[in-house]
Amino acid sequence: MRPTFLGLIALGGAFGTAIRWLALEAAGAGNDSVTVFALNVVGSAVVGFLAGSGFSGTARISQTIWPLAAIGFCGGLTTFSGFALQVADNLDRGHLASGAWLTIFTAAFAVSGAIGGYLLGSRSRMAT
Amino acid sequence: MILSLVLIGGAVGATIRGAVGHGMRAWLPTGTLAVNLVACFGLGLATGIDGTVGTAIRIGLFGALSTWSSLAFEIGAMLRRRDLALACSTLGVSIGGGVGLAWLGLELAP
Repeated sequence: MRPTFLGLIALGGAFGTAIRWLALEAAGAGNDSVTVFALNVVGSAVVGFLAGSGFSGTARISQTIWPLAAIGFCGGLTTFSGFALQVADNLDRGHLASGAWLTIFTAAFAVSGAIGGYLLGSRSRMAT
Repeated sequence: MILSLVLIGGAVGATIRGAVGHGMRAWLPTGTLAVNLVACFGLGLATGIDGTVGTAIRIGLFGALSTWSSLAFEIGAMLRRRDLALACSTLGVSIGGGVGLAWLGLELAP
């Protein structure tokens, strides 16, 4: 594993995390679930798009773009633990429906976003 | 100050995730599952830490250690290969295990 590989992940991860924190601060208290949901869906779609565009391969540019933007930035922008904690907190407080809907919507939209992004990236790559 | 700590926490969490994902790829279908589960438990525990350091650890370290984007991409790839069983089991174990461990962390938090 090249040191630059981890360095690019660290750089992207730091900025993705900072944007997530700034978005949570801007949205204000009480809007954490919606903010984290939106970031998780957008980040998943971007990773799918990058992969569909061919940046997950072994080409020279991919060795920079993939760790920086996909693993680092989008990984830092999205958070599975934040989502899980929100669901656990909902269930703990007896809000079963909220926890269930948050789980279903996040899983459905994140996976659909990743697949849609991949297809869009593949299509744009073929068009060029 | 707090932004700097969030940046550092994010860099450390993402680097650990990248290293684990790279190292475990050879013998486990996905290292994403492992880092996500650890991060869920850690985040639950870290809810007991107040102040700026607590925010940096929760948002930065454990937030960036886990990822929805890689999980969604990997499940999408399984579905594109028509491997429905692996996709459903990965999603189920991730969500069931993650929520359970986050709850356990919450309960054990100081």
